[in-house]
Amino acid sequence: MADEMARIDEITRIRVRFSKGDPVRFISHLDLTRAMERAVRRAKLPIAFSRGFHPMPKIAYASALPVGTTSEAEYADFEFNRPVEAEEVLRRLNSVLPEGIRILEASRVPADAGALMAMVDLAEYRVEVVGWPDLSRDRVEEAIGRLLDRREIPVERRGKKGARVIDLRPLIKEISWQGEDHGRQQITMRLGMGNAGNARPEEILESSGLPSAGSGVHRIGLFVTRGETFLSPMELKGR
Amino acid sequence: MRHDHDPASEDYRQILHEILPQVEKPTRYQGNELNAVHKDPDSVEIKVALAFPDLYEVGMSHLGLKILYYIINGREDALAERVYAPWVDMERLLREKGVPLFSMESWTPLRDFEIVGFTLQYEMSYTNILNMLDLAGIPLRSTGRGEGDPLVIAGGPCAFNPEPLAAFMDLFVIGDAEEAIHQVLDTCKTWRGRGRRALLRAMADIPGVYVPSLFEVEYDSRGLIQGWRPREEGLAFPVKKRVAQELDLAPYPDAFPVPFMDIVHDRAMVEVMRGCTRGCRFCQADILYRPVRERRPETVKKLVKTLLDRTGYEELSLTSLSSSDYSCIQQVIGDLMLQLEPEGVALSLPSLRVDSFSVGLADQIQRVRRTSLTFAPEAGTQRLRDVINKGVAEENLFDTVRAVFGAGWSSVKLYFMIGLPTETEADLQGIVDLAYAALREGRSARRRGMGLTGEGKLQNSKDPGRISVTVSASSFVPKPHTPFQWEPQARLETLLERQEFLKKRLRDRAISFQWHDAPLSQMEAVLSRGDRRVGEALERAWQLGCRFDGWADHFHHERWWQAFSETGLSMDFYAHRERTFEERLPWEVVDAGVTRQFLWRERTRALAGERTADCRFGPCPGCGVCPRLGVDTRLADPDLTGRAGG
Ligand code: SF4
Repeated sequence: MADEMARIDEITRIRVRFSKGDPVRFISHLDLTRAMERAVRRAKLPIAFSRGFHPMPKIAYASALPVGTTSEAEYADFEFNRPVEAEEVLRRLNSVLPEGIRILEASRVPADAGALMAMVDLAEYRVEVVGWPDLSRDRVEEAIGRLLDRREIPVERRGKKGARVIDLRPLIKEISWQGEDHGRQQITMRLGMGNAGNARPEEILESSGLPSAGSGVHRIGLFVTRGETFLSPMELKGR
Repeated sequence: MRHDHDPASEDYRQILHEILPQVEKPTRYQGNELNAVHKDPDSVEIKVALAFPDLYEVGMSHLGLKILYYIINGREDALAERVYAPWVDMERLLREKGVPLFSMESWTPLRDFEIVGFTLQYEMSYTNILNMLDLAGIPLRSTGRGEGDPLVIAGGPCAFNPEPLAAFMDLFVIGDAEEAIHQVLDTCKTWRGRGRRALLRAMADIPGVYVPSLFEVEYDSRGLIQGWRPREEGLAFPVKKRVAQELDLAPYPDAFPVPFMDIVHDRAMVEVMRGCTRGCRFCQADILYRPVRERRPETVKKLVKTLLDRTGYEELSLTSLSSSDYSCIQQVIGDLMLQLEPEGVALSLPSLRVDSFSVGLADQIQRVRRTSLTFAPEAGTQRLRDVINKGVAEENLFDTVRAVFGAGWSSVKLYFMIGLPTETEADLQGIVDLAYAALREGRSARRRGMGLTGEGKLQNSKDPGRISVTVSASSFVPKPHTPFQWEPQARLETLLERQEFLKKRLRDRAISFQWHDAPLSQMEAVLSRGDRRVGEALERAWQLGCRFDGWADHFHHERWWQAFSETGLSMDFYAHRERTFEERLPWEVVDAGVTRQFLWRERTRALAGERTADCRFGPCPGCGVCPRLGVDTRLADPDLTGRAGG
């Protein structure tokens, strides 16, 4: 545990991409972290702990996924105090994780790699617009077009310090119609996140006058912007 | 078929997908937890819905249902799924959309199960039972159910007075259900489809099973019970409780469903012992679970390992009614700490006895003083503690408090009851005096500097120098099968006055005083000693909108009072009336093993302030359980076995 702090060269940091699927779509970020910690325990992986009154396993997430959203692009860094192979972390975690949470990729990153949360600044979502039975492609594209034409898209956020208004417009990087499945229109959105502010797909739907309740939101990518390119945290390898 | 108009279950699933995002905590209904068992419903003959009539957070913390879940799912021919009471927001949506109450695992409507089994932990969840049956589309009353309806059964501590729920339950299982549940399932397999009445008659032959519809209650002109008239030949009466004699060999789950959301007790639990014979005279559990049976330390340690391996829990609790009484507690804790500490797993003991031995145990297991320690002296004076047979001497109490603060804790919680038989103002003053004495002890321990970081212990408190004492006073509720079963409950005005008395005197900033809603305790007294007629008021109260009555914000006493007046019943009759030894009591349908003579003798001794010793450590005072049920006390420590006997 905390007392047996490993030597710095023994610290192994493994970055994983994982999914949060339909069976667990309603769990909160806190629930997810708890489930992950218990999985690490069951897998008997040599996780490192923080010091202090409540030693906590060192697992750092790239972002907190909202309740109700599914994802195939969640990222976390695990810190181990003994050398362990990325492949082994993936295999052992997958054998004990609850249904709906799956590790999809794992690879080692330098122990001093920067915090994921501070780096990711773009999220990509696939949204299935559900709620109106006869919603056509034209209507969706028209709504998106009108939204993108606006200079400002003010929405109200309620925080601990009361309500404040933020502008969604600069956070919208791209929205496009993708296809149709069983009469449901599918669109993708690339939205800014992180320090510059977060835009939620549900807010985008509401602002464009499309139904948001009951619509399926699925995160398909998280990225770090480097100039003109978008790198996934796996490609980043910590630099 | 009744269910013709229902949309197919696929439609329900779609609707559920739409309504879940709209409720406060959808995880309560989501399911898919680790270790949840998903069996193919077509591969089994009997599907059982295990129903807990309270929120998921409460029900998932309960051990009894986990044991049954494990036992039933261990059978090839059966499956068990879970269901909890939907919170008010979910109830509203289910009713609005016409979705029947469904199970967690497969989202199957409850009425498609062969058996729906409720656990009865608390009287104030009875309205939730009616509400769940109604939401499930299952006729509320046993007599209204037909061939296609599930068998609705119940067990748990409150089943020891089954009468208030007699109209709504097809049968009750009394006592330990580990073996009885197999017999119920087997009988269900054999008799299903041969008529509901025949099925119920066959069930009544299982020891420990009470089928209320097979008996008619007769009352005299004063409204007192005259007796029970059997409707068929050869029915056992009263129904004797079941006892799992070999607890060490009894089935115990090797895995629990691990919730995603935070619940009341989110930890692995191993039941080290069942039963308690300390003999507190107000305590129903003491009588219901006699005699004491312990698991062997090896079994306990093996269960701990398996459970932790399969759940990944960071906390383990050794449970029982009083775990510091477990005969091998010292050894087990020592061994477990060696194993668990390096893995970062915390150990906890619920319900500590009031003595320095228990403080020592807590000291051993809590490296970080995260929480306050809780003790239950129950009464404020030695005199009253003798009346209730709470074996805590004044000196013990001070030693305990001193030990707590000396070992570095900065707060202590003391539980008391008000309204106990023979209570006077002096006893209330005693509570006040104890609270201040505890505070003084804490402060002087702190001044001596012992408590700050005593023996390198870490303090985790914003202000480590600040000592605090919490006093919690619940109101005494006389319970069936206890020596106080004949006693009147103190009147509402009296309880309120006594709460006031304490509130006025416990004003120090370092003392916080908590009390229970008195009208709620009064309702609990009515329901716990109710007879079949109380079932009418219960149903009316539910119709008037009562749900989640155990949740203070949701308890509306005026609805209950209305329900009682509309059904022509008197709450006084049930709560505040003294019974005579001769009176036939509603719960006589159940034989808990303990004789009425023993209980009456204990009552007499109580009023005379005479103590009775624990049969584990002294002679058998003859409660009757051992000889009458053919069982005996089983302690894990071989040196102690044989000292107790029936
Ligand atoms: S019969 Fe005697 S030994 Fe057995 S539980 Fe009762 S008092 Fe204890």
